[in-house]
Amino acid sequence: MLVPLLIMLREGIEASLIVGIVATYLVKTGRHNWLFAVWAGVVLAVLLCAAVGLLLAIVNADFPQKQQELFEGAIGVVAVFMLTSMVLWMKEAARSMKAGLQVSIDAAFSGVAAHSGFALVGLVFFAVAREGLESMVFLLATFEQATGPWAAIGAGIGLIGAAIVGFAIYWGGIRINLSRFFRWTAVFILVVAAGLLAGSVRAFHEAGLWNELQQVVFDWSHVLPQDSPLGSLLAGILGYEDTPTVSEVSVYLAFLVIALPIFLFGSPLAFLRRRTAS
Amino acid sequence: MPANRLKLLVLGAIGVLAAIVAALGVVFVTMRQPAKPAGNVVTIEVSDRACTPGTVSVAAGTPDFRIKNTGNRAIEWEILDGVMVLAERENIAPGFSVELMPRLDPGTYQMTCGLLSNPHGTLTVVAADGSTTARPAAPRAVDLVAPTAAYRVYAIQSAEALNTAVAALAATVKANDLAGARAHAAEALAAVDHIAPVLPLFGPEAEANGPTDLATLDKRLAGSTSTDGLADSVEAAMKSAATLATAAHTTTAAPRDIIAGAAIVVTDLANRLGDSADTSARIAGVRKVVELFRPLALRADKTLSAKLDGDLFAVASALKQSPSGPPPQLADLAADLIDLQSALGLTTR
Repeated sequence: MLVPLLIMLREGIEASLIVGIVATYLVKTGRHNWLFAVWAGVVLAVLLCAAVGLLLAIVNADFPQKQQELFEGAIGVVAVFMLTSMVLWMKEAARSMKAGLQVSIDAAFSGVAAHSGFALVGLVFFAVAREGLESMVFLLATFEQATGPWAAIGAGIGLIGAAIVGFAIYWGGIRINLSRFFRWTAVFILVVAAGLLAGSVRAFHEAGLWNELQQVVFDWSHVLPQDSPLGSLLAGILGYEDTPTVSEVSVYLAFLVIALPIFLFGSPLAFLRRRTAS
Repeated sequence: MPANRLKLLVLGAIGVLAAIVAALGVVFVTMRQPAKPAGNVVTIEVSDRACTPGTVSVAAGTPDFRIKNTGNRAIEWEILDGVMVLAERENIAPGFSVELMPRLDPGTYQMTCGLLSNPHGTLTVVAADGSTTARPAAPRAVDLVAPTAAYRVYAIQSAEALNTAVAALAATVKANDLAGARAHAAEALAAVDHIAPVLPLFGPEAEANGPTDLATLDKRLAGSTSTDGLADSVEAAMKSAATLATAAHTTTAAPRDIIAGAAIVVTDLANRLGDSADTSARIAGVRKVVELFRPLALRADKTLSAKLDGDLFAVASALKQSPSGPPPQLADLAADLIDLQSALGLTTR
């Protein structure tokens, strides 16, 4: 029971995390009315994955693992790009507005609202779809193969747990006051993005596309296994991997080394411009 | 912001999809046939420590692996070629089994067995003819990019050489230099012969006119005692040379077409030998094709690659002895070129 629970918890969190972050961002930027679209994106993705998963099972087709990995990797890269630009944009907006004034936020976002809204809802859809198909296949296996009901119950609890994590991020996010939200949530999002990027590198490897720098940096599969409760939680949220390769660790660190200073201190160019201006 | 009508539309789509899923669910529960027993089933049990059996031998093709997790942890199972993942399944919970049917070429691979620190299992894929020697797969599309691009460059260079030769030919005709004109005409003909395998791809005009105009001119040059009255032939040759050059720049011959074209050129030569200069130039063009694809041929079929080199050598030495008919080795060369096509997985459907 525990293993199906943890598997679904991890896969679920990988999706609900992005949904939670996007929903929080939309609400924080005064776009409550987009929440319907977020829900629609989630439900459509879930249904679509369910349909494809069932179809694959009915015709006894081999699960297209490589294509799935390619899809996962590509969506991961897009998500990293969007989360990062979201964070950097929030920073700019925070600078230009008086802290805490909802009116000025609405004004600041009214211009970009429509198209960035659609892009964000698209991100939600694909983030769910990317985990959904594999989860669906796994869920069908729990119904078909398990000797008792416990595997299915565990998987269900895992999914509920993942949903709770998503909601927790949403509720927590919209409660924090604005300036803190911009600063600390942003740092958290960047760390999440770094994990996503490293995960994409792994996905591209498993899709057979990237085969360089595959030496294992450290093997923590006995210290903090990825399929342990804490390991699953960390894997879902931060992209934790118990046996990461050189390429995964390098990408993870490189992203943080570049993105965090830019977020905290501004881009080198802007920094220079400010220096010369003052 | 989503308008109300859009909202309704989305809700409708959700409803339809939900109905489809429900229907599929019913089909899944009621009408699913039990997994068909395929002939090539390989069952592997993976415990917390190792695969059982740890050494597996299967026939090439799409073996049907059933991986059962007999351990206590979630595992993933991978078939590895070095570091490259050939096929895998993730999230195999304890007590569960998964099925995968990867396409495998003959060779020796590793399989992961649970934790990374566990020893890898060995998977040997045996060729249909029973040989256990690893016979590498046909090249992937990406492997064909380099020879295709190189041949494109060769075709363009040959077309440029043709243009240069024809321009020089025009100058010598104008200067009434018959010997010079004959030499340049030969150069021009050789340039066209070099790219004979892909000429049909350059369009009907380039294919028909280029060589014909040049051949006419060449004949007239050979039969004339002066260059008088050749201006119109030169004009035609220049025009078709220019058409050919344009076509060479705008056409990228597919690898399949290049090799098939080379085989056709050789077959034609085997059936009726042209004059020896013409034949040598055509064979030189075919040799270029063989050279460009040699790295891939070596990987796909070493014996065939050696045979091709041998054929080319035999044809060249036979031609040197100025034979009266087509050298019989041409037929071998043509046959081996067709084999090369299938060895590289480029057979025409």
